[in-house]
Parts: sequence; structure tokens; C-alpha cells
Amino acid sequence: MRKDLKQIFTVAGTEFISWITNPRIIIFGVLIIFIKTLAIDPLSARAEKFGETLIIFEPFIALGNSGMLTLFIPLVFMVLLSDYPKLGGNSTFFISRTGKHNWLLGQILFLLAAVFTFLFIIFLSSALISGGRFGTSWSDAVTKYNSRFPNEAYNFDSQLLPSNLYNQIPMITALVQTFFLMGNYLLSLSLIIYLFKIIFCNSSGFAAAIAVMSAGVVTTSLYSPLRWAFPMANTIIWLHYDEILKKPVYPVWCSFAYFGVLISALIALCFFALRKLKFTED
Amino acid sequence: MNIANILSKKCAGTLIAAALMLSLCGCSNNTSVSDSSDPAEFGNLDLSEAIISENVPTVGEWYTFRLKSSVRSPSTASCMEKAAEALEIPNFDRDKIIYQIYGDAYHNEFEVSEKEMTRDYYKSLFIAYYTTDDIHIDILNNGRTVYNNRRLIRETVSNPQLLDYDSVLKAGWMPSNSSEYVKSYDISDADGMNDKYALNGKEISVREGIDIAIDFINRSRSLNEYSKRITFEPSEVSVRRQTDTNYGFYFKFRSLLDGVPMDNTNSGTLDGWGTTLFPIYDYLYFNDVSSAAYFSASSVCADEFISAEKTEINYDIKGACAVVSKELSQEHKFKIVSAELIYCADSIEDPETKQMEHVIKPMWQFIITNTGMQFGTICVNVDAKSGEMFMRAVQ
Repeated sequence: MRKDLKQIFTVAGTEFISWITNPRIIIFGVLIIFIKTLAIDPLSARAEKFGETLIIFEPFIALGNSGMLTLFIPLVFMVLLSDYPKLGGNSTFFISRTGKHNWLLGQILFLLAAVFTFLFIIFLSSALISGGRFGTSWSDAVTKYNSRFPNEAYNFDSQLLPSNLYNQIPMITALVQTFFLMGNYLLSLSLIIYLFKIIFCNSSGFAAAIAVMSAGVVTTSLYSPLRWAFPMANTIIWLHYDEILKKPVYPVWCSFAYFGVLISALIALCFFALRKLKFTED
Repeated sequence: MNIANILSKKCAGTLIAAALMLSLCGCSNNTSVSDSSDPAEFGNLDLSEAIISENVPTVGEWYTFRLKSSVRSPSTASCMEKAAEALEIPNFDRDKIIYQIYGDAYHNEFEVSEKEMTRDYYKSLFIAYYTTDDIHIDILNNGRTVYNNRRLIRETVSNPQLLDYDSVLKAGWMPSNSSEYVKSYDISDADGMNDKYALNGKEISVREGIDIAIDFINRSRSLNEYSKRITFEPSEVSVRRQTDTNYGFYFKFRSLLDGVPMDNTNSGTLDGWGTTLFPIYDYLYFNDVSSAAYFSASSVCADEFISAEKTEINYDIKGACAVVSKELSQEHKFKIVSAELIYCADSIEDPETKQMEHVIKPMWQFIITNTGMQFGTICVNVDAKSGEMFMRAVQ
């Protein structure tokens, strides 16, 4: 058992170091610039116009609740992860030494670490760049802006933090839910890539993940009831709530349950597919 | 201290006197709950500055009225004919009414005469109009009727050439659009009501103008068991200058049912285009004591009366607050500006005939400001009998 755990952590550690030191990680910088331009700067400008300061957590919540950014952020994560899991060359010997199950558990641990690191860096960057102040409740710059400037209520900037959020849930709850739902979204997409890689030994999983994302974007944009069948709508918290009515449009716990079932199913399928994987063919 | 206590303490004295007046006229108990509501009772409602008005009908009882629109049926022409008769339009020729058809079933709008009208055409009737050199009347599919005295406008308004445009021929035209704003009046300003202005050479006071306008409305409208209970009160009065010596009065009248105000937010019966399905306002422009130059009325076509049932008020202000508090988000403190027991209309389209059916019933109407939504102000209605809640944005 102890040996198994060591092997699992070794696999995860090796992959994580390889991932974090990959030159491709530079895309992350581009993502931060993009986030700053598209979300943080507009929010800061609104706060300045209102004569208030943002709370440092608000930009991150906005990132997880913007339709465009919940498309772009996972896309960057998938690009960073598109080479994984590596199933060629030395990997064959690596897997045969650790065992298939330990290898896959190590890969899942790596994915968890990668998702957490990715989101944590985004969270940290957005908090630092925002120039906001610490606080545990929504700022007036967010909650009262639309009332003071009603003509801007349907601008892209206003949709970053809509009233469905700040009228409905405390900011800290929104922050925690954003982090975990976003994490689940990234993990689900990563597992789709992994599953296809294990089955077909190629990168078709990337296309499959893009297809799932696209279906989510389309159904969410059309406000179709089918949107709840895809990860994207389940990630965006404000879609779960009405603007002021207490009764939710779709309970948040259902989205956590959705991701629980989806991720469990994808992991089970990965294990099932792994049994049939023959490394001699690589 | 709860709202019931506030009402009892603040209004106890006045209620006794007010009760004696109820059989004579409609009244309302206006109460400010400033500094006295219990914030813990309705944790998400800020009632500290709310004005609460519990109106009482002149007949002493509340009713639920059911009506069916007379438009989109052969009654449309009869309705216009009655209006023409009341407005003393000479030589009105029913055969010259034009029906504009536009709806989902047709790609483009087209016009037909009454003889060409079919059952299907009535379902897609958008507007019926009658225009001559002297007058224009149109009836929109929601029952709103627009009347223009084109002769009067031509004689008195400085640039009546606007009437010559084809686009204006088929629609009512408000002469105040081409006149200069002078002053607005508050109805409670008794002195101001005595100000006099020359209307086409004859001087009359604002008060006299209001009386003439109400008389004009009453002459033009059809009455049935519902509409005869409607009265009108001015909600906007302004004076416009047409020429150096001639003025015009612009009035907006609000409808009252049994002396109780009707929903003036127009929020209950808006269609997808923002059109009011059950209009309650009448707009008039007078520049001559003999006739309105412009009259946009909710009251000319009397909708078909179906029933009037006595209705119990099961939810007092406290009960209504409890409903609103329970239904709205618990994470936000909603600022209530006012809560008023009034008559509100709900309108639905009959899927078969496409005619509108209206239900007018007593509801508590809460005006809420700080929602963070685009229309920062919203109104929340609570059915005073069933406690059902409806939420609408205020236009």
C-alpha cells in the first residue's frame, strides 16, 4: 500500500514538474493579460467611476461567471494539457514499473494539482492586479452601479457580475463556488482528453473536449434547457439564480452532483479503457 | 413594533372619521412606517421609509371583474361607430373603416374593408382606422382609441402641414409635439388651477379645462356594468403655447375603479413589445373648448363585461409583506418605497379568438427600488385574495 502511494505521488510529481516547466506555460502569461484587459480593467474602471474600490475577490468571481471567459480560460488550460498523458517512449517502461492503476491514479492526482495551481494563480493574479481592498461582502461598486448608471446595465462589463449573483449569494460563497465549479469544469475536460488518449492513443480528446465546450456555449447562449446537460452552464453560478426571486432557476447542489457523477463516470471509463491498453502497440 | 401596530397607533383616530366617509367616497389610509417597522420581522425588506396605502372602494366591497376585449371581433366597427356618434362626427360612414391586418399568419401587413373581413383576419387585426379630411379615429388591438380633430388642428396649430404626410394620415397625431411647453400644474395647487389661458380665443381656467376634458371622456365612452364604475382623475396637467395668443391644455387622466386607483405602472399587462394590453390612461390635448384636438383613450371601447364577483381581502399589509419577504432573495435588503392596495389587471390572449381577456382584481403593489437591475425600480404585486405573487419591471 505504502509502495503504491509512493508510486502514485511519484507519477503525479513527475508529471507536474514536467507540466510546470514546459515552455508552453508561457501561454499563461497571455491569459493573464487577456483577463486583465477583458475583466479586471473594466471592473476597476466601473469602480473608479462609481467612486468606490473593488473587493479583491470580485474579479475572480467575475472570471468564473463571464460566458466569454469561461470559454477562454478552459481553452488555455486544455492547450497546456493537450500533450498529457504522455503515452510513448519511456512512458511504457514507466507504466510497467508503477502499474497501470497507480499510473492512472497518479495522473488524476496530477490533474487535480494542475487544476488547483492553474486556478490559484489566476485567483492570485486577479486579486493583485485589481488593486482592490480586502472585504467579505460585495462592494457598492458592484451592487449599486446598475441603479446609478442604468444605461450601462446590459453592457458586457455589467454582465461580468450580474445582479443574479450579488442579490442572491454572499460574496465568499460565490468565491468558493466559483473556484470549485471552475475546478470541476477543468477536471472534466481534462478527463475527456485523457479518456480519448487512453482509448485511441492520439489527441482526438482535445477535439472532443472542444465539442463539449462548444455545445455548452451554444445551449447556454440560447438559454436552452439542454444547457444543464453540459459543464459550462453548471459552472456559471449566476445562471442558477433569478435576479431577485429566492427560488433558484436550477439548484447549485445539482451542478455539484452533476460534476460528481460526470467526473466519477469519466474516471471509471478511464480505468476501464486502461485495462485494454497495450503498450506494445505504442 | 410591527406594521399592524403602526397602522393602529398612527391611524386609530383618523380611521374612525374615515370610516364614516367610506360610503360616500373612496379613500385610502396612507401611513408612513418610518422608524417603526421591526427589521427582524421581514429581514430582507427595508420598510423604514415605505408609504403604505390601504384603499377602500366606494361601494365598500372589493370585486374581481372579468372582461373580454371588444376588439378583434366584429364589435370593433360598432365600437368606432359609437365613438363617432358620441364625438358628434358628421356623416360617419362605417364602410370606410380600414382594417390593417398584421400577424404571425401573414408575412406583410395589408389593409381590407369591413366587407372583406373574415374570422381569421379578425384574429390578426392590428389596427382599425377611419380618416377623413376633418377627423381621424383609430382603434388599436388593445382597445386604445385615438381621435384627432384634424380640422381643428389645421385651423389652430402653427404647422398643421404635418397632417398632410401620408404617415400621419393613418395615425393619430399629438399637436403638443409642435407646441412650446409653458407650465405644469399640480392638481392640489388650488391657486394654480385658477390660472387662465386663451384657447382659440376663449379664456378658460385650468380647472375648467379639466372639467371639460372629463366631460369629453365621459361623452365618448361606452358604458357597461364595469365601465360605469370607472372615474378619472388627472395625473398630469400642462399648458402648451401654440401661437403667441393661443394655448393648449395637455392632460393625462388616471382611471379609478370604485374610487380605487388602478395599477398605474402599466406593468401588469405588457406584451413582448412593451405595449399595454389593458390601458388605463387617457391622454387629451385641448386647444378649443368645443372639442379635443387629440384624444388617446382607454375608455372609448367598453370591453365585454363577463362578471363581477365579491372578493375577500385575505392578505393585509402584514400578510402581503410576509409573502414578498418569503419569495424574494434572502441575501439582499430590498427597499420598499410604497405598498398600496389597488386594482390591477392581468391580461391573457384567448388562443382561439386571439381576443384579450382581462381579470381586474385587488392586489398589493410594492414598489421596490434598489434591485441592482437595469430598471432599478420594480413592482411586486401580491394578490390580496390568494397571496400569489407577480413580479414586474416598471416602465
